[in-house]
Amino acid sequence: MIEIQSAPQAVGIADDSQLTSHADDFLVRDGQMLVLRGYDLYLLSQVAAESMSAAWEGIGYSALRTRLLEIFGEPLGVSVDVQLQRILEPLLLEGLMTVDATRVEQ
Amino acid sequence: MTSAEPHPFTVLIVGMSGTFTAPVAERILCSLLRERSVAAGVIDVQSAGLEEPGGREIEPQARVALESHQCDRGPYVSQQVSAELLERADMVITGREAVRSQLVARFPAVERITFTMSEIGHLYAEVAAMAPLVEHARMLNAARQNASVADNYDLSSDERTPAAVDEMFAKVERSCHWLAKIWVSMAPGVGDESWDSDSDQQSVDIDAFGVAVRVVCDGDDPARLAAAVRAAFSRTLATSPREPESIVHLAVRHDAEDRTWASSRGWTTYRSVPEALHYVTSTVTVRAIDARAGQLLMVHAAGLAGPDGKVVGLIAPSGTGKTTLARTLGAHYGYVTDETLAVDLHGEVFPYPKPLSLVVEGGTGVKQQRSPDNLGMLRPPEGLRLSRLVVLNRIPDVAREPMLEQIPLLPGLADMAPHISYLPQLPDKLHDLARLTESVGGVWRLTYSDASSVVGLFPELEAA
Repeated sequence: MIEIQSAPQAVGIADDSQLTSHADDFLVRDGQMLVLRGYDLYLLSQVAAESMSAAWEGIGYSALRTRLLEIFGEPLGVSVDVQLQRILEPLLLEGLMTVDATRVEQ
Repeated sequence: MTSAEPHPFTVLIVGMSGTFTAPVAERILCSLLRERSVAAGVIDVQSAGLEEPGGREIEPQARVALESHQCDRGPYVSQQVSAELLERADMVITGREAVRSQLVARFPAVERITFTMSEIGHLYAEVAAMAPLVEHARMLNAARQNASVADNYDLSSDERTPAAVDEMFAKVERSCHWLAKIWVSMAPGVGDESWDSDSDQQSVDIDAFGVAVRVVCDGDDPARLAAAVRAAFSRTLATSPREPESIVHLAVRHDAEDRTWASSRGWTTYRSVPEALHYVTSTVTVRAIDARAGQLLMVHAAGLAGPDGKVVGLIAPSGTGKTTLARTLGAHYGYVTDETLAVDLHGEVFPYPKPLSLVVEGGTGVKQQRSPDNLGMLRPPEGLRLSRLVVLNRIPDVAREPMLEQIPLLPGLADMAPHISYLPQLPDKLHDLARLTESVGGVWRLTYSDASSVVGLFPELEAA
């Protein structure tokens, strides 16, 4: 069930990419999210949890960036895109989120 | 592979080229499994190469090794590792650490299911992975951080002298024998069919948290084997006749050819009674877990009960002192189980006071199975209910007072998760787990160094 991707595919998400979350079940407490996918459980930070929630029905990368900026504000000491891709990369690698493959920057 | 749907336990063996050690290990493992009546639909073993493209034949030295091990020498065409192959795998095994590192660098998501052959042998020796096979990689991974693996199977890629190659393939064969024996004991359906026998079989009926499991004993001395099973499982013997939900055909045969014959006829066959007891404990436990998938929460935990039937579940990876703690507390409180705590979604606990698996000094990986009756452990009262879930954090060799603290719910559930069987099969999955856990006051963590220091703390655990 986990869509195993190689590392290079997980970085460099284009602005018009569509992101979609995948889980078999999840719990939310205090902003954190516990996600079950297959036999694996993942404990997500507040920002990752918000990203997952935003992408259940699919969301564009730029719309997600705007939403996270509204909620959490500018990250400290790093650009929004770098920070966002740091958050998304593990979600993509674990198959908790997929990105429309045709729009991934090579 | 992490799909919760039933599927074969799928193992992928990865080598650098995919034409040397990996296909040899694949063929030896397949040969051992098929000899023991394990079909590819139950355990599927494949091999692949990390660097070389697929479509190539096995190397001549590897072919010679297959001939010497009397394995399938039929046509072999290599395949290259791919995301699709890894996606299907429940466990990935490499011969060398260098291969494991490169594989994980390229496919980070497989890190937790990828082991070197040496590592997995070491972990299986330490961890009693009494769980469905598809859950083994997670259990072994949870134990990996505390394990120190001294030696590995590294062989310099340019060291292809006949002696070096022979030595390496001998190591591979030993590992494959060890893995096959463990996997066969917990493979679903193996040994549950009835076959003709030339001896007088004896049956032992066991009640494993409400699951009726019949162990049919055969071999050189069925009466002696059955007596040993009855003695070890004395606390779990069925008290009234019931149609078994699962049947295990168990045999001890001293003669190697007899063992091969019996294995090919579907018997789980061992060379000695202690070895048979060691493996049948896992077999019975996993059969019962399989039978209650989706009905009970089954936690790999010790369970001890106070006089009023309140049960404290003590959760920890195998090999970290859980059985020692159960044995120590069991002299003062009712022994419910040392391995599988089975609870329905309303909090009723189904006891499984199985034999305790005790390490034998200087042993061979076979643990002694001792009945709780022989260890002076107390019986719990009737009407058991879950009272507390405690994650154990044992810090050995550091004298300290035990410390009990509550963990926030989600991190607590995440700590428990690697120790729960068939969580995805529960009707409401995480919500069932969370409801039950919150009904007993959430998840607690007990940090301790010595089991005896926990005895006085037990009333506090019950009422934490």
